[in-house]
Amino acid sequence: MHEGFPITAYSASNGLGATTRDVIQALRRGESGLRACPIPVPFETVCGAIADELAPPPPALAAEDSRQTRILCGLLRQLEAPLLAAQRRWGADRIGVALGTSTGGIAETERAFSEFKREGRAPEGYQFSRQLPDALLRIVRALAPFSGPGVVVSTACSSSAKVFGVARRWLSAGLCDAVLVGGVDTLCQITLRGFHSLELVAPQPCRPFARDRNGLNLGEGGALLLLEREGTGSARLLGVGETSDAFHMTAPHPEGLGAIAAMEAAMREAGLSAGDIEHINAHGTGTSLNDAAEGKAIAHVFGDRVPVVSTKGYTGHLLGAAGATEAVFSIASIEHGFLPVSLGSVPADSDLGLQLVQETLERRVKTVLSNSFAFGGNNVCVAFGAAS
Amino acid sequence: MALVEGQCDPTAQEPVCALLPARLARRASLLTRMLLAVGIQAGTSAGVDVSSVSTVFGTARGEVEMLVALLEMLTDDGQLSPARFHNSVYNTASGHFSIAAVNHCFSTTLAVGHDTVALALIEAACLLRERAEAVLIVVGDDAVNIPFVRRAGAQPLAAAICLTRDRPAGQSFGTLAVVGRCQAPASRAEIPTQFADNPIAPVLPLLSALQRRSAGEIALGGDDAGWLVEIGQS
Repeated sequence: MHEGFPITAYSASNGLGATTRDVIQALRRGESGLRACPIPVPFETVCGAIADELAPPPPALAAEDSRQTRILCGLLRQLEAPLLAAQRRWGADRIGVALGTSTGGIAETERAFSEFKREGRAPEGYQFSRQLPDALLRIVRALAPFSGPGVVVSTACSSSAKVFGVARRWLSAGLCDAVLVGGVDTLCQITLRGFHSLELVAPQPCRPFARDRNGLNLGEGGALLLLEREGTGSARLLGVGETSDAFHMTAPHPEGLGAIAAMEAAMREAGLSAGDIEHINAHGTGTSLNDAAEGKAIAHVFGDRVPVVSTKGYTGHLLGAAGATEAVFSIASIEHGFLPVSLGSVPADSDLGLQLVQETLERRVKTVLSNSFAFGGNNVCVAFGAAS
Repeated sequence: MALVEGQCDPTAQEPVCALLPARLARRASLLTRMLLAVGIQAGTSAGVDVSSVSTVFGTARGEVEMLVALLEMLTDDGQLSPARFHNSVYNTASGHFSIAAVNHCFSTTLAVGHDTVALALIEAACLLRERAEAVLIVVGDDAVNIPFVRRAGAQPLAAAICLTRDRPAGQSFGTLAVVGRCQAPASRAEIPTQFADNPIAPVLPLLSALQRRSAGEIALGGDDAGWLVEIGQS
């Protein structure tokens, strides 16, 4: 196993809770964060939305205020001490930032466009730049003034899994001594109605890998993780596999060829073989095609030997924030010694041949893979390992 | 890194990518068609196999044409077109490229405002260092045709640069090295006014210097800060 890079701090916020502690506790208890959708849509569904009121950004960032910004500010506040320590240790110019988002702040433009159609003008204070992905970087740089490289990846639902590849490359190349990675995404009309137009939205809580699964739920939230060249943390980033299906914009390759290649590449980079993997946090959206293709891919590489969990039944699909959030869940399994129940998976689709976690298991695991797949056939698998 | 081929055609009215299946091309935005046209053209001109090259796409504003169409549908009857929806993600061109070129390799899409070109170069340099023999950088941004957002100097623009790890002397436009961040104003003198507010415009002075085989440093970025890139002779 390669040494990798330690993950020295992390934060998460989503439908399970506004703080990392609440999120991990709810995950461990097997409680779903899916509730009535806070955005009015003309079809039945449930969403993973943050129930707590989100504090606005500091007054200096008032022009950047949006739900996305508020979630990010909350995640940064939770990491104040470790980020300050990293800055003192490495210097601001040696710390990079790599974030992912898919939806960005598009909800702001939805509201502005609607008002423009009604009133003939956009709302006072509307700024187009607020919807763009690099708004996330402006917030981080204002609150944690790291001056190393900063990037935003936007590859739809794999966005904040790909940032682990960026961080690994930057650390390996000596561009940085620490990288803050993560992702944020919010609910909006376009994603809710867009997935509904593709007939992929489940009216009830999603059932990843279940025999009668019938679609996904959407969620909002985000996660941040601090990777350092050296440091103390319960888990390490070991490897990242990144591939393309080259098959279809929305449907995965039916045999999961891109997913297989991504998992094999992540293990190769980590110096691991299939027999070393002790847990998989699957992409597991709950759609018929995704779960069938991913199930075939996992079964092809691992058979039914490895316990598999989809956490979409807890948070909904967080799109551009899913990769980073599920990285936090993977690390929580390593740190706290439990595998969460794969909510909604009973009765399982036995054709998939997977070992689904059907009740929460108290179990130490040292190696975890986390899968993220996206529109465009973009596949990422991230390998995490316990600190030695 | 050796730059093998750079392509930029800001005057093209109808970009053509023969590899893109007609049913995909019909539904694709101008931005995606531009990105695929310059990407395939640069890769082919450079003599790299477009089915096995790693790709780094960059677009600061994404699929604005699709976004506006979806916003119109939202305020009309609220029914969204599934094709417009899945073609609205920032990595639409990346996905179409992989399908058109039957490319199963690494692909990413970056969105970093005026730093998009510089960060795409950094990502490509890291990929070359790590594993790739060649990386195709494909950057572009469309006009912002949202009625209440004025972007006069942001006409559509796309460009592609193919970087290889090694290339014999004389068989490339030169070498590129990212020096580091800089506070000096970026090299914007050669940017035509119609592209002045296109976040991808910093690629124009870079391509211009490469085509002149002009060694030296170029600042890529916005008005206040950016990244310094050094061009060397091959």
